[in-house]
Amino acid sequence: MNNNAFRSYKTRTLTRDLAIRLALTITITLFLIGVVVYIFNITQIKQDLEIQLRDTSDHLVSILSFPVWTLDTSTIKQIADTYRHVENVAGILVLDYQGNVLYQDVSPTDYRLISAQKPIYYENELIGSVQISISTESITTASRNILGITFTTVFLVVLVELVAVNFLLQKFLDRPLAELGRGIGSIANGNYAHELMRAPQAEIDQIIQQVNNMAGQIAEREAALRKSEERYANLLLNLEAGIVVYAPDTTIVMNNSRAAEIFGVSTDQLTAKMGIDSVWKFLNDDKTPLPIDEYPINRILTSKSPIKNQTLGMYQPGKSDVVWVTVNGFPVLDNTGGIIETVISVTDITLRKQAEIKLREYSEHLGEMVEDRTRELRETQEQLVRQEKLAVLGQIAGSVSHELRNPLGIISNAVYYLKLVQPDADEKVRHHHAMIEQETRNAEKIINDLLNFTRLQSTEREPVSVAELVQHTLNRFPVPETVSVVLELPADLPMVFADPRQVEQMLGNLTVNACQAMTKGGKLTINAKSSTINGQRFIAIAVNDTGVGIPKENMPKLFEPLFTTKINGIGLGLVICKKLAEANGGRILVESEPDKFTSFTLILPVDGKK
Amino acid sequence: MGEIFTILVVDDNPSMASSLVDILEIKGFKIHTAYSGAEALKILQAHPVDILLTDVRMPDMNGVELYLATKKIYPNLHTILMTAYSADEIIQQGIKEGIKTVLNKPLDMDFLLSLFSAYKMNQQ
Repeated sequence: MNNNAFRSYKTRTLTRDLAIRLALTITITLFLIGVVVYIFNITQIKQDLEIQLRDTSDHLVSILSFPVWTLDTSTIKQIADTYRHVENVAGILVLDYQGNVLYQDVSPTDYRLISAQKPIYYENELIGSVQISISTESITTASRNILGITFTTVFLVVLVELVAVNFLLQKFLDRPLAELGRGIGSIANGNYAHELMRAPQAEIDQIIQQVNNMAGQIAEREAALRKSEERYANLLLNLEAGIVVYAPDTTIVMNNSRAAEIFGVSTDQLTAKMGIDSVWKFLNDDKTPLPIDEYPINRILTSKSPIKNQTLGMYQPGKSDVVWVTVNGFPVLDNTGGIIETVISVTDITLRKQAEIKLREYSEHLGEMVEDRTRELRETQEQLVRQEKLAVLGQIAGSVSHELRNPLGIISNAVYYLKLVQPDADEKVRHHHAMIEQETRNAEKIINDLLNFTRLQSTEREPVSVAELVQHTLNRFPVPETVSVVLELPADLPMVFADPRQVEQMLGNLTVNACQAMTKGGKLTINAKSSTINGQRFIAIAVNDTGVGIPKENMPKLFEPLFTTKINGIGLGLVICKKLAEANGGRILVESEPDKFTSFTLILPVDGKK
Repeated sequence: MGEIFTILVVDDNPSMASSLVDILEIKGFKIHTAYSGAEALKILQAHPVDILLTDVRMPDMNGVELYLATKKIYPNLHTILMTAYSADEIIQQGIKEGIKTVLNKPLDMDFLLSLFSAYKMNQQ
């Protein structure tokens, strides 16, 4: 492109310059030579003419001496005519001593004449004179010829010179120069790898070498520059600090992306904003607005000195959370101490600040937390003690329960006997029989619970009918007369896969609980439904009562050992139910509303392996 | 009902033994009572017995040992164990040796009586 631009306004070319100068030189030289030749020739001719004039006149005088003496005009004429025809002689005039013309023949001519008049003596007596004129035509002709030859030579030589210069320069200069021009253009366009072809001409080759050298150096410098720029850009980009450069009027002239991130705007939005723009809401440590004089940029502009570790808060545009930052900065000064620009680095310390705040809060709430933890610890300790007690209790209960079974066995036999032998006893006696029987059963149940709790029996699972299990349970744990029983057991219900004795025990516990919740009577509903959970078949057996219900605060404690609300309970029934349900691959759920109902649901699997 | 069905009740606790005996007699069974294994074996030598109803834990000889002692001599004797210790190892051993029925104390008397009726029916 530069090539063309040069060409377009440079009408002078090397070839033209050289040709013109050479032509001028040649012309002047040849003309000078022409002039010298001219002067030399003309002088020569002039001299020749003068010699001819002198010699001819001398001859003529000596020859004409006698005829003039004798006044022999015809001889005079003869002689004069003869000389008249000698080359260059333009006229002859012969006079006698009185001045009478003896002969005259002068041709009219355009040319200048040179003449010589000589006296004619005879015997030392003046008898007349001869005047000869010679034409300078030969001079004119000669000069004309010389001029013509000179011009022709100049013309021809200049012509040859032009052609030669054109040809030679084109061959030796123009092409290499054009090549050089193209190469430099290519290098100028950034193609530093373009190595120029060497030229045979030493001068051009030197230039080419230097250009090649230069291209290499430029490439190296550019690579170094690019590397440095890259490093600089990477540094800026990866700095944890946001960097902002302000013009003296606080316009932001440059910033890295981290700065935009911290200020909560895009890089484009940040650039060209003012450092004192109202969009920035800077805050003191206590979240009161920071006075505009205290803005980092203003502090630097005022003091013309660096600031260190100024901590401040700010609201990002459109956000309500405070971002905390520390700011460092310095002014860049010129020779006269004026500010050229201001560089500020911003570090986000929000996390640290939040941690500080949290730490402060923690220290304030430490007392409370210690109290909480102490309470938790105390509770855990109590639980541990309770568990230890339970373990001891379990051991004692185990052996005591066994020992109690014998006396209970005797009592139950005895009352059986009494009922047998006194079928007609009065009502009071029979009532007492029934009481003994019932309480023996209760005692047995308590013993069983204790034993089951201290040591779970091995679980022997098999497919069993829910209806049968429910019936056995109701037989073993008869429901008081004040409670009506409703059974909703579908005939097509699949069998559950469980240990029948354990299921009966669970259902028994739930039934007894239900009845005890209905001291004033009510309705006991036992229903069963089959369902599929995650591709596994289950049966849900629900024992529902219309009793006092369970207060909400007791719900989480229901399955804790020794938790009970009954006067004569020990708080193991539901714990055992839960353990047994889990041992049988099922679980137990509870739902209740105080003064309305309680519903315990025992979920047991249908399929399983023995 | 041809012959009388005879039951031997063995328990080291006399009250337990007598309470059972009283009930079963009323129900029409012929009863022998023993308070130890050795005593039971003597009775078996002297009298025909259909059912041996014995406690498990006894001082001299436990219920299963008694069963083992009678097993070969009286192959037709039905043995029923009564126990206060449901998960006893002795019981597991008894079941392994061929005892079919183990009842927990306190006894479900109606169930026991129904068992006897079933045996009786089988014999006839």
